Amino acid sequence: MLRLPSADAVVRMVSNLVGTKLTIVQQTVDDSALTICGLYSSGDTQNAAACLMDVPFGAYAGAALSMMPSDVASEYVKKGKLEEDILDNCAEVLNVVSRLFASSDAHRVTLATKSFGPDPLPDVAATLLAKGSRLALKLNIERYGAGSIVLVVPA
Amino acid sequence: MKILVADDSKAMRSIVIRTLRQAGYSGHKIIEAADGAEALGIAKSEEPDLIISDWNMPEMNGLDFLIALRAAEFDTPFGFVTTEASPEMRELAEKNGAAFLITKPFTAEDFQRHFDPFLD
Repeated sequence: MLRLPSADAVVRMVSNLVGTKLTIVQQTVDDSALTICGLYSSGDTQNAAACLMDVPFGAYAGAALSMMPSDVASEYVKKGKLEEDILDNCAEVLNVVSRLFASSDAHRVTLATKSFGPDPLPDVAATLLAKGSRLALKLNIERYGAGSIVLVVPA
Repeated sequence: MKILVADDSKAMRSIVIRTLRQAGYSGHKIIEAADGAEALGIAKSEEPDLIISDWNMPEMNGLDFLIALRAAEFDTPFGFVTTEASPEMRELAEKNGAAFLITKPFTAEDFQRHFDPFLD
């Protein structure tokens, strides 16, 4: 079974990836706002973990990743969905998050599927979110804004 | 000097290039490839001084790219920048002639530590 990382590990890894400072705003999130989803496999186990984000987190982290202007990201937040280049960036964040679930380099965790809303979460992700163990964080991404990210593993 | 960056993610290629600049490697020609097959063709025609490649890519993955490059008798310094880094992957990379394997996310200091032997 995969493990949940610490909040500090999430902050450190995402901060390293996007190249800007992250701070924890709160450790609760609005589940209904989570529309971006990555599902991970581990060995032969499908849906071994999930990473869920709201649009602000996907937009701000995605924009910070390639140093897009913050107002570009804010436009996506207003629209309520991600488009074009920022999708690729957000996908890369989901890809690298896979490392947070692995307890060592010997533990293979791979991003199997991803979706970016605005459709509801895939059923398997919604079930994981409802029944699994979670680390929920609202993080402020310096120079961009705050958004929510939730990491989930089966209970 | 010429650096070939191979990754199917345009975002990750941008990040690698940004980090190269942050690490102080400015003034080099950067060539991008979106998969291993494209990278192999560019490596043969452009003969870069360093190749930085993802592992998991469509068409031809990074390991097969490295193997094909060495089979074609190109000894270009080659390293991986990849999300996964199992002991088996590190062993395969080294066995087939990779100089380094850096995991994402990476820092400018990581790049300096691995690239200084190859770049000005």
